[in-house]
Amino acid sequence: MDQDLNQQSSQEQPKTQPDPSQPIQRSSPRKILCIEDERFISDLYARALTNAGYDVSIVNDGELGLHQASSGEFDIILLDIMLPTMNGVDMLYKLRGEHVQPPLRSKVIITTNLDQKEDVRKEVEKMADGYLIKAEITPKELVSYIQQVA
Amino acid sequence: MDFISKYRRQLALRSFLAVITPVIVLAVFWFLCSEIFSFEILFTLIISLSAGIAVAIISANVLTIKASEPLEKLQEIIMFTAHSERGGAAPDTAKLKLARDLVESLSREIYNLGSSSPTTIAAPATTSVNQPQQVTEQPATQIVIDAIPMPIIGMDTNQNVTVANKAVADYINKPLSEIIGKSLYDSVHLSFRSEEGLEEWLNKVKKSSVTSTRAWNRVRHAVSQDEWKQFDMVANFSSGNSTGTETMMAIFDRTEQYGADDNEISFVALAVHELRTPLTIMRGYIEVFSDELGSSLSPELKDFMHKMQASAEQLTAFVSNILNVARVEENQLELKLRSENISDIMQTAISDLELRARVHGKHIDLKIDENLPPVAADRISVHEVINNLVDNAIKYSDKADKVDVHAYMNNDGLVEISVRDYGIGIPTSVMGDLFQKFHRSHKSRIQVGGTGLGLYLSKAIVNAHGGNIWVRSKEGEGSEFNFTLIPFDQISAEQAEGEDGIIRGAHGWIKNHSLYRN
Repeated sequence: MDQDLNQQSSQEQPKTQPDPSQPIQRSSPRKILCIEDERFISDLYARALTNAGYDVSIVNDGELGLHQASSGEFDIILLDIMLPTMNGVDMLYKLRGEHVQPPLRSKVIITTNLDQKEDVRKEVEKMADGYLIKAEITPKELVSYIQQVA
Repeated sequence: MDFISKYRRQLALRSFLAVITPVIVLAVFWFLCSEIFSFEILFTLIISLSAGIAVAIISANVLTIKASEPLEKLQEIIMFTAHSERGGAAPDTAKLKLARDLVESLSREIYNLGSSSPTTIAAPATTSVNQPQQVTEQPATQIVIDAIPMPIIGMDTNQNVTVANKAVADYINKPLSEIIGKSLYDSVHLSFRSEEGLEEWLNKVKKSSVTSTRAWNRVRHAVSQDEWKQFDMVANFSSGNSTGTETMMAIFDRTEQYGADDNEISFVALAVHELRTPLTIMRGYIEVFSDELGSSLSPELKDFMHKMQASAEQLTAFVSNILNVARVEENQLELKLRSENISDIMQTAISDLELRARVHGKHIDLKIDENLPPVAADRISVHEVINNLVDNAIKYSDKADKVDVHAYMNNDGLVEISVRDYGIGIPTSVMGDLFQKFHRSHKSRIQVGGTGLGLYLSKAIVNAHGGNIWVRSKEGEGSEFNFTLIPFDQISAEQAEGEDGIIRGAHGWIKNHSLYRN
């Protein structure tokens, strides 16, 4: 899948050159927050992402996740939907709703095994930066997906 | 209220009919029996009387039902507007229509009230420059709308708030002084589920209509960082009335109800979620093993690893099939047709299937003709169709080691995809039922597993794309499944989903502009 996304993005964005005004800071590793309550999955993701040079933090609970995510110190937030104490869609509203000022700097990628609900599809597409069904991708595929984001 | 006088008129008409009908029936029977059939007078009388009574009983019943209709409506309205309404019912369009009627009448009354009573207080309502000086709503209006328990907001032509009741202040947790006279969007951030929100709708109706009413359900408004409201909203637009208020809106709070719905997950979705979680983990660890042990494994063990990996992938695809079959059954398979490159979709799908083919000793021969036009397709769904057809071809290939997949332009100007195997073929007796659910070739029942969801789902998906799917097969020589997709430029604008800056993959999506947006 990462392959086809790569292909498409190169087609649709022929002018994607690194923007000189926003230098890519490779000196410090990009920070990822993985909000995921299934320990085995977060371990797998953390392992693959750490191997790829990212700095990964794991939180396994919704409210705790929101607290950390709001700090704005992460480049990418991987957000599960079915979580204890607060579901991911609610969290997405709190992180990325129109009322949030200033807007959250981090990219939010939904990683879930729930299919998108039609009734909130539009809103989720507006607020999140990506959506992945976890069962459909392997940790390595997640890494190449993330590399397109940051 | 308007609808009461409407029903009063209806009721009068129906009572009249209820009385007159038995009389006419009686007379007609009398005439028929006595003149045409030349029955005895007594007999005629009995028949006519009983017919009349029967009709009278029926009309009395109908009359009772009709007579109580306004009461029922009234009860519905009370239930609808009542604050205490609870329960996780799905949004009810009939109720939404009722709310529309209600708000329409209400707005008319408020406009009337605003324009008829003498001006007692006049003050510039807005700071707008190009507007003639306006008069704020009269206190009379304020008193009346304050008495209404649901939030009511009025706006002028620039979408500045001209009037709002106390319920609004309570609802959005801001004093009225901070709401009135300011732009509506300073006070509320409305987020709509439908493509057309309030602003878009107003821009449209301003050009085309004098009055119009629209209802939305499941509108969201964030009261604060941690709290938001969900409600149904009805807006009534009426230009050129003397009050300066052009749009009236009423809000029907549904926060509890919709909150409960949002947290509700269907049984199938939950089951699929539970199946996918261990699958994610299995596929993850298989990848770790295959990456890190790969070089040290014996060829036999490596082969086992591949079989494990292929089976996990197959199961993942099957789990998605279950979910989609459930959607088809509930008429909820919603496809987003976009302009897609069929070659891309096919290459991705086939590369996903290659491992599965290899562990079964098959080879997929993919041929894509050049210069195929973009097709109108839902990427994920077409991926699933190809997956199902090729998966079947691999399963039913028997000893043959080749599956041919070909995409080409057919004589009807459609893009056609064929999946051909050289296996056991399909007996003519079952050809007719092949695309039904849970069907499977009787010969193969012992040899191959599978539930027969794949073809059923593929047909549903292809048909939803406006294409066709069919099969040609000869026992012992193999089968060829074909399906068609429509070139994107041949479909109507309504069917096509607009560009939204989202790149869709086979298993998810990513925003086009998300690259270093900060």
